[in-house]
Amino acid sequence: MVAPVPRVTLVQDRLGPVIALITSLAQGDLHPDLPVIDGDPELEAVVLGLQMLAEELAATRAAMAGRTAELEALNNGLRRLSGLGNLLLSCDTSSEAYVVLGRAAREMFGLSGAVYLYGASRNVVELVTSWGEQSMAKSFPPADCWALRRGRAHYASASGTEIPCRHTSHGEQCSAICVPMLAQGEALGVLHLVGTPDLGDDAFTELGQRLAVAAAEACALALASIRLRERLEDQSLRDALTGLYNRRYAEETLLREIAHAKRESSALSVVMLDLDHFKKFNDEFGHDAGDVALREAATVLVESVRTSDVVSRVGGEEFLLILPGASIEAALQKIDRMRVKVKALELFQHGRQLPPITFSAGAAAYPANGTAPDVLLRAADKALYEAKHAGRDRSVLAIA
Amino acid sequence: MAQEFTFDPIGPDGILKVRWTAGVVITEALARAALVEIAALTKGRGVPILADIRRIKSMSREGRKTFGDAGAVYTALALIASSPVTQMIANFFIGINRTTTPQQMFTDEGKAIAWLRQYPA
Repeated sequence: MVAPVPRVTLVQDRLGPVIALITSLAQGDLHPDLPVIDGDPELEAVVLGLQMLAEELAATRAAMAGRTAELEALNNGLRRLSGLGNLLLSCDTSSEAYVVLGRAAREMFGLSGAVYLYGASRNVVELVTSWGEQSMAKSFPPADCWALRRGRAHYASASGTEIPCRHTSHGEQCSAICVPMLAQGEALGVLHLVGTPDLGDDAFTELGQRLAVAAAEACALALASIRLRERLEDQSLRDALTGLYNRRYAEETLLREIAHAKRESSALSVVMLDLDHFKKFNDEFGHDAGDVALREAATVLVESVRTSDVVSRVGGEEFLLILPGASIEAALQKIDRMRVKVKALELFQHGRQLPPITFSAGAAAYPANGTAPDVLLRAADKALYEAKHAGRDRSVLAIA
Repeated sequence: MAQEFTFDPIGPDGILKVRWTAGVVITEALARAALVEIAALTKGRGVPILADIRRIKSMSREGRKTFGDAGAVYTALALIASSPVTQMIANFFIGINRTTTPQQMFTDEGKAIAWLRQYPA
């Protein structure tokens, strides 16, 4: 008679492979060798169940790892975005902001890109900064960009069917994204990012695209803020009627230019200029006519000087010209050319022709007539007074 | 691929019956092939489906996922299982694919059909 097999052995034989499988899983091996179980449907089901659980666990782990990497990338992106926002807010001028933007965007996206802003006419967007290896168009009509046409981000993948923007010269070999830069409901321009042929569709993950949109938004707000500040600053330095600089700006400039002339031992002339009989002109033809005369005369003055010269309106009909590097003789020649042009102006107001205008001018030179701003201005003022006294429509040089 | 599964003609109850053949491992490719044929038979509208998996060997994770993502294909899904292995597969499929579309395991085909009849064909 065969001795019965002890019960404990039967259980061990039956469950041994399952226990080994569970042990492997517990040790972190989610792809263990599966025991072959024949003729034991229940155990086969247990093994299959464990296998399916292991597969799901492995898939969940992989998904979690991907999600973690994505969150880390998002975190990095947000940190850089926040840094970019802070840097942009610290910028004093638009040009400073463009430099900051170019550097930060290159670091943030690691791709080539550019920022284009609308020109004054809004018929064209112009390149203000670019980064990376890919060449960028200097300017293009807004109609060439799908993002600007539709007012939302436009992504064209290297392998996709989306139409690339016409302004991008990289065609269909590279993925590219354009994001309109919107601030306070107005499109300022577009952020353009381009991948490489090697990267293909991988140049822009969904997260990367979202980051580009957030970056464009942050940049637009910062640039709008800087522009507003610049405009207000400019307005505070300009005369509203003529668009010329005002007295405050002229005084600051004169101080700076005197220091510069002193440092460089260069010439500097200042001219006080006053329209003749302006009160009478105003009384006879009205203030609107006077405004016409002031605006037209201002235009002639601005068009007659170099960009380094400063023309300002410092009183009712009184102008101050600061001419860095100009000798008193050169200044005189310049004023006389202006005089001819101003006198030749044909002024009209509401279809009515106004009489010609003239001006008197007094010129003084640094350092011959003074080395301090107030001294120099007094000398020019005195010369102007002499020009008026001598019959107007003339220029007088200050006596050294 | 057509040998791995067959379809019973759709009867007046509108239930589509898919029968998987013996020893089949339902892979992603097989699952996709089945879904293409189901879509062709139902012209893309959702119908109650009875899936007879009593004789399959197993179903890969990708196969489970492919069917799990195809909820729009059916209005209700009855899985017919018999052995402990196929019951494990059916229960696992239903447990993992959490969906609002009704799905249930049966060991009796008659009960499965009765249950499916309550859903729109």
